[in-house]
Amino acid sequence: MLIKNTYSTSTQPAIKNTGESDEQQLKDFETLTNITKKIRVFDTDILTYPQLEKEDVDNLEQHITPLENLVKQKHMVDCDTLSDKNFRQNLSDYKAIGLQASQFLDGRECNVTESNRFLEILSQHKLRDNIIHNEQLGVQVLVKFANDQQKKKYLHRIMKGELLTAFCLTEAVLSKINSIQTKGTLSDDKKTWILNGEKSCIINGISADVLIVVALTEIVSKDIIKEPKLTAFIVEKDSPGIYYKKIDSSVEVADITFSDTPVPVENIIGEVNKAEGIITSIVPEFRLSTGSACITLTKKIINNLAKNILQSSNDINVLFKTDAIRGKIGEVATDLYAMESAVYLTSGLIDSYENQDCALESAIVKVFCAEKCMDSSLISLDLLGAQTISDSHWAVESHKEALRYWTLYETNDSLKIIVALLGLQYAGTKLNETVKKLRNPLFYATYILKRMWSNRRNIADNPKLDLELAEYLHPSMYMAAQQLEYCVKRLQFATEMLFARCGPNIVNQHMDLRRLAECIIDIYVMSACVGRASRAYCIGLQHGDYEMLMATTFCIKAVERVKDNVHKIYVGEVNTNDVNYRTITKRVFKHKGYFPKHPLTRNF
Amino acid sequence: MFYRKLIRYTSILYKYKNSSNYYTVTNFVRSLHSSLVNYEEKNDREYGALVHRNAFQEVDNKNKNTYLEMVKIFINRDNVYRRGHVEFIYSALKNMEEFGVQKDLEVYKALIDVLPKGKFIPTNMFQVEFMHYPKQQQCIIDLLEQMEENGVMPDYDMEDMLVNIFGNKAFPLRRYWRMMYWMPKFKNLSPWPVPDPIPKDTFELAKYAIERISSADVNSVVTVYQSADIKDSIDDTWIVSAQSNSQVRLLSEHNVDEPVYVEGSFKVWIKGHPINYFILRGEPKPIVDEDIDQDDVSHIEIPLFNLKPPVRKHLKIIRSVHEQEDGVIYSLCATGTSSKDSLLSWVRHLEKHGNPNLGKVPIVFTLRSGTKEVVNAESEEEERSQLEEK
Repeated sequence: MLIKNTYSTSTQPAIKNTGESDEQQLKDFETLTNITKKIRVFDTDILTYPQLEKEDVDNLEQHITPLENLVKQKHMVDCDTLSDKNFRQNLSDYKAIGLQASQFLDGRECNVTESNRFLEILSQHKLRDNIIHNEQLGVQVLVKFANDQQKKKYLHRIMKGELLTAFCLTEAVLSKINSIQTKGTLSDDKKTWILNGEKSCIINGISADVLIVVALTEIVSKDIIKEPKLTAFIVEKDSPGIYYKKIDSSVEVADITFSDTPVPVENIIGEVNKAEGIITSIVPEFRLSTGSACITLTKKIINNLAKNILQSSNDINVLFKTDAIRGKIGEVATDLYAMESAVYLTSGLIDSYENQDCALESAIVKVFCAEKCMDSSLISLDLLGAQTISDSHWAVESHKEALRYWTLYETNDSLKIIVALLGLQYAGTKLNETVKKLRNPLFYATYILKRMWSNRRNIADNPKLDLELAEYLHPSMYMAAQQLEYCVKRLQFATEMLFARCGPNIVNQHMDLRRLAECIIDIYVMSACVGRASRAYCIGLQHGDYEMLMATTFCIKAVERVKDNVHKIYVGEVNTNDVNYRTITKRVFKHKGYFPKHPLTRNF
Repeated sequence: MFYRKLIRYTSILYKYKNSSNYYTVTNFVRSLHSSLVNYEEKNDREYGALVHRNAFQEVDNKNKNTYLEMVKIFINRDNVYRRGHVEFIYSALKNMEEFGVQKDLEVYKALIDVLPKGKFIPTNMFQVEFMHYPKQQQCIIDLLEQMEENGVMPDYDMEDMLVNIFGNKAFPLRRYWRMMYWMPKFKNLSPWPVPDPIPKDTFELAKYAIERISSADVNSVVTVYQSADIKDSIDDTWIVSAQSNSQVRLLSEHNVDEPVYVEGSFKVWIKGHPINYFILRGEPKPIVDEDIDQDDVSHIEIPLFNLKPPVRKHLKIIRSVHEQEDGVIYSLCATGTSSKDSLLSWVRHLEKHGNPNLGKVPIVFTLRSGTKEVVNAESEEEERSQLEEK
């Protein structure tokens, strides 16, 4: 392994870089120096699970217990809107708003890991989405990008629970961030900006006192392509020209219309036309916090489910000993274990380095957690059966909440594609030369022939496992390490093949991208699991042996999925039905719906 | 086996039936031979049976009922020998269109029913091979061909009739089976199906036509306007217009100094009915050839916060189906009168419904019907005066 701890900013040599796969790996090489050879290797540092200093952990636990008690108190549980000032002030008394704000503002100055731990606790409350949106989007923008004046004027009062924020980004017709329609124009005296447009599905929209609005302020034309520039504004609730439309939902959601709303120049967050940078740095942590919320929700589901099953077991039918139950509960527990591992690995990575780019990792966490949370919720509905017909049953409520994480802001599906693209972006820069040769076999005949020989084991689905990952883990993890290695090798194979097949057009091959993303997600979560389990076993944590078992279990399942996905990428679009689906869908859109005739139709 | 037996028995039955008829009738005729008057009467009848070829033309009220009546008259006139039935069927086939029954299965079945049952069934393989009763078989084959040409699909009843007439080895049967194999397959192949029978109303037909043409873009919306809704319009007729979102966008991007053209009329055929349609066209856009390296994967761009699946960003905007080499097509219509006035109303309707740009651009009418006339519509008044001049 050529990569050793060469990072100057690292404080702990053990906790280091990101990189779950060769593509991810390549990104790291950009930042590391003196590395010219051997680019496709697994960054073994990721197998060292990040941890906090002992005193930090003690300190954290000390503060978490009272907060947990607070959230469980009756008057807090009964509160069903974040617009309740008392509720916010109670949270504020425990410094639970503005977790990452500096201590000058009376904040906690948490790092990402700590704030995720706090959010996990806060997520026990049913208003978890409102709290997280306020905290991770509204407050974080101000913490990171507001100037001192704005911090004093708004942030301080928000942290004291006097004000509530809402982050206004999404619009009704918005396919990507660059197509925002809400416009901001500078008035003639250059003292105010005038906002016009409509934002939809804004969480906390109705009760928020401070709206953070992202609007289009300039369009830079380069040749034919127009590149819009965005700016973030702080808009106070009582400014003129703001209209609300409440959307019927269990979380407070509203459509907000701005018509000629004036915003003073000093309320611009950061600089004019620089909001894209703000969003880029806010969104990863927001995605990560979804993971914390999902953990809490899944934990609630599994605990309730276990309780319920124990209660309904009796001597005649020892339900909890049946295979049916054991299979399902074991699955949920393993998934939950994987979720936790992924969330805290990612937060650890963000904390270990300054300006660490964790867009890919946080996206993985969001997709994986939302998916597994939904799976668990479905399993619970399945096991509980008819009693869940009541809308107020806890399992039904959990299911509704789990649904939100699929849909809010970015859907899982498009995020998956982004995950794949982020991976390919890193790989593309380094594999460019290889791809050029692969795509022009007649110009590079010798290379192709050599490659046919060197690649033969990959094609036979039997890659050589020479990364020696097992050396970085507890010896009992040998099997899991080998599986992880196999997956990494397969991912590399799949990436090269996709590049060779599609070239830069790969961006449009969403069906293959989805498969690639599933591989990347599985590999990242696998590394998180084995790293965590190995650490737990080595330092002798309680249940460490079971952690080993869970990690191994997850790996076995993940390896199946990776194998299947890579195989599907390998056999191509005709053998995987992709072409058929395209054709069928074309027909559906031509007929604007389902087209086949009723089965009872007669032609003559 | 069952079929063969069935056919044999039916043929025997028919033979028996016919022969019994024969006897009774011959007896009947013989008994009347003593009278000269009756003899002449019979001659008359035979003569009538021979000249019925022109009978179809002599009918005043030509419709399905009178047609079937003619067939019935023929059958009843000479129930025994049914002389000249092949000629009768040919002349009936020839006159179908005048009666408007060429698409009616019932009529074809009535014609087939004219043939005697059982008589033509071959009894050995040589008869089968040498086309037993060739004239009759050929006649029915021609009938079936005419059915096919008119797109009339036979049914299983017809199979039974043909089996009873020719047996299941005959050529008409083979033709029937071929038709039953292919015709259902072709029946629904049209990507733009129209109801069968097709409505006679031009308005309905125009709607089908415009829907058919505009289906090039799945997002097209077909709207029906009334020209009377536009102030000052002379005509009072319908306008079926089609425009999609991307056409609205293209029109809004149109340079107001350059004219748009109303062109037509072009013809589209809907099941034998011609429909005139017109297009609103702009000058073609220059084609920008994008020169990108299809092997370069080092610059994959990713939108950072995507709510829909991302697609590859191109250096140029992807041309829509409306931007053709010879022009950009902004909209499409058919009107009740195809007159210039109705087209003007159409343009004004488009302007009112989401295309304000049309009020500013010069509109040139290049209509092919009659003499070529050019109308430049700077403003509605000017346009109108010019129109009136012409």
